[in-house]
Amino acid sequence: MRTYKPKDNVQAKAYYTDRFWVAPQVPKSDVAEDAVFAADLEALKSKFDIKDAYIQVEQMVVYINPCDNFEVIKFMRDELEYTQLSELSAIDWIAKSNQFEIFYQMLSMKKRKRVRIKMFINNGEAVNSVEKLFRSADWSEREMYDMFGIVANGHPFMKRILMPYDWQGFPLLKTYPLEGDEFAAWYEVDKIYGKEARDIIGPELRDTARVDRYDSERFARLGFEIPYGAEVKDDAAPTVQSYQEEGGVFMIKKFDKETSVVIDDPQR
Amino acid sequence: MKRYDLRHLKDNFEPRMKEILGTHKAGEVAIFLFEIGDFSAVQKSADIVKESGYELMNSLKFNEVDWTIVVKK
Amino acid sequence: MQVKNRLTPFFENITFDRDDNELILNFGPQHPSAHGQLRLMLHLQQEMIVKAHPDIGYLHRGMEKMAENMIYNEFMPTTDRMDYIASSSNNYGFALAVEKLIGLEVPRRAKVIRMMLLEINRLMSHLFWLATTALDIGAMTVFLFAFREREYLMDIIEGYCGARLTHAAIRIGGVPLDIQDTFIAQLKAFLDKLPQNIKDYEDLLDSNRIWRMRMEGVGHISTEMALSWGCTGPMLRASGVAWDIRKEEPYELYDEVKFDVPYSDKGDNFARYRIYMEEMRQSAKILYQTIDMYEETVKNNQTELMAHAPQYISAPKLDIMTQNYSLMQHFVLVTQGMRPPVGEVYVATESPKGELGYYINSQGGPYPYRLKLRAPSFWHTGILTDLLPGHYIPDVVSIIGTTNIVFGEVDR
Repeated sequence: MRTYKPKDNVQAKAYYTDRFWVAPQVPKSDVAEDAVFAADLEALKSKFDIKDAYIQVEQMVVYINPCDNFEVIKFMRDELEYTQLSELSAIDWIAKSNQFEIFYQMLSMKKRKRVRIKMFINNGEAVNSVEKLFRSADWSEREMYDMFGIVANGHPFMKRILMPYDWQGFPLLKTYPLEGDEFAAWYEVDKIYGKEARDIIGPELRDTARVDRYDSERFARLGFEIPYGAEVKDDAAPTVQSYQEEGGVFMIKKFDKETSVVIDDPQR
Repeated sequence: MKRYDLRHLKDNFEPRMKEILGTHKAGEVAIFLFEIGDFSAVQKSADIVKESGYELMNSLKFNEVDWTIVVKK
Repeated sequence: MQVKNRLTPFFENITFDRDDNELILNFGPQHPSAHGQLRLMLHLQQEMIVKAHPDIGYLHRGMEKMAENMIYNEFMPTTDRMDYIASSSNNYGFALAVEKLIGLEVPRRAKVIRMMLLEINRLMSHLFWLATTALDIGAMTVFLFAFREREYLMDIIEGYCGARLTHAAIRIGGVPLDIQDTFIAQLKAFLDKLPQNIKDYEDLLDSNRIWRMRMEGVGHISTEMALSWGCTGPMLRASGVAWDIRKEEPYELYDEVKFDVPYSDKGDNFARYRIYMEEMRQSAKILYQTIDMYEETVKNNQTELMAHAPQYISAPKLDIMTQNYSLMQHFVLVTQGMRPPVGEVYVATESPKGELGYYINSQGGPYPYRLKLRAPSFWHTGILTDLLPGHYIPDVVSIIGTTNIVFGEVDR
């Protein structure tokens, strides 16, 4: 029986998977091992409901409820001296549990520690914006909205940042194909010339090595040169190309071989 | 481990190969690539390697026209 | 001939005149000193900027999407195209992230070569920054000097990895090639000349009235604003926070190398300029020490260049050509790609522009499940919204210069 492949994840998948192979896990250690992290976690636990916390690759990962993300980050910044929000983005788990996982990567310069605050939100939910606490979240949240469609409530300019403002579809979703969907393929044509011009202009040529031998406007015919735009006939006379090395036309008129010096020191 | 492509020398790759084999230190590995021609080159390369005191680790047919040998001092 | 089209006049480089005499000017995507494709919409009251709105995305290639469809080794050349001025530091960031995910130990000689590549890249990036910023403000000679210096570095890098700009010189697990025999000689020749060259630039620029007027007091970033906007690298160090990842969270061999971290509390363009110049000297100092470390590895004969982890890294060429099992392993690793364990990692390294972070979430497959690239220039462009109001148009040029933004990194 063929193994079931989830249709809602159209990204590249390994074509061969050993059925009985279980992928190893990156070691997760308990938070108590690191004093600084343990203290931070205690402080967090006293105020918020922490779902899960562990240390992975020398960084603490803390799972929280999505509703109190603003307070947690405010608490981290003010009480626990986490000075910078280095990164904020999302991971698409729609195929598995119809959820997004959002992570806030924070850095404490005094303690030289990095923490990752994570939370799960359902597909279609919005998050409250932390832009008031860290201005860097302003652009990160716009990029998250642009790429995943997760809206940040209370954001001053909740619009797309990388794609054009009127782009439809969220590119980083697992259901969005790598080559782009139908809207992406016809975006410029629709904007400039309208839907009707689609069949006149024809689809975008994505093959960079495409050569059309009967198109003399875009492609040159080396050895069988014909005027620009002339109609191409296969029996054109070959054009003779004479090179200087083979005794053909000498390019430099006043070049004197005896007085010239060959420089081969690359440092000159 | 250094790789040497002697394919452009076609048949007379032996002098260049001898010269390269002279420069290597002990324990260093050299991989040569040369044209097969009429299959005499394979035997000649094996002789050169033995003659200059190298150990022939591997001798493979690289593709239709090329042969590759892995030698170690 | 302008084709009659339904395009609303939103994208074109059109200036709108409003009744309250506020002019919206596009510091357009095609602008000589925009350091790439930045469309900065400036609301102007005469020459003063009232509101600035950077619009980015013109160089967006969807690198994070490509990462999800590429195996780990295949993604390495794509990381070159992120910060194309210093591409080895991107490669290194990605390689370090994957190595931490797998838990690999890189051999010592590979570490030393990587350090050399990183510091050469830092010098190349700073020289490029100095050239373009000075050119934007009008100092043509500094532009020509700095590019001439950069040519020497590019010859060294080209000798090593065959490319001038997109190096892809660092693999996951080590370094593909040993350095060529002219590497150390050329590097030493360059490093001996560098202090004198830097002194020349400073003589040209420091006492130049135009340079000081355009740079001092312009683009002041306070410490809270820098921290709040997530500025890192020279931008942060100019605003009074001495945070350098090479010093605070030493990776590779930065703990064995002696160097200082320049920082100042002025926060304006001139402070950033001073920091870049000082960082060039520090990089030269580091490079001298790495040359000694390299000679030491030659002395005690540590010659492996790639880590030894059969299920992740393919064996050295000798084994592949002679051992049957390593040939099979190599074949599987090249065609299907290695499969790191399930887990996630965020690794930050100090690229010439700032903190370059890679967040990799892998679910055990050969393709990373999610790969987020934290590019420092992204937020250095964002800060323009809060920084530019109150400045004048010529200041925009010098501010964009000193923020050292590269749009391959901003748009990814």
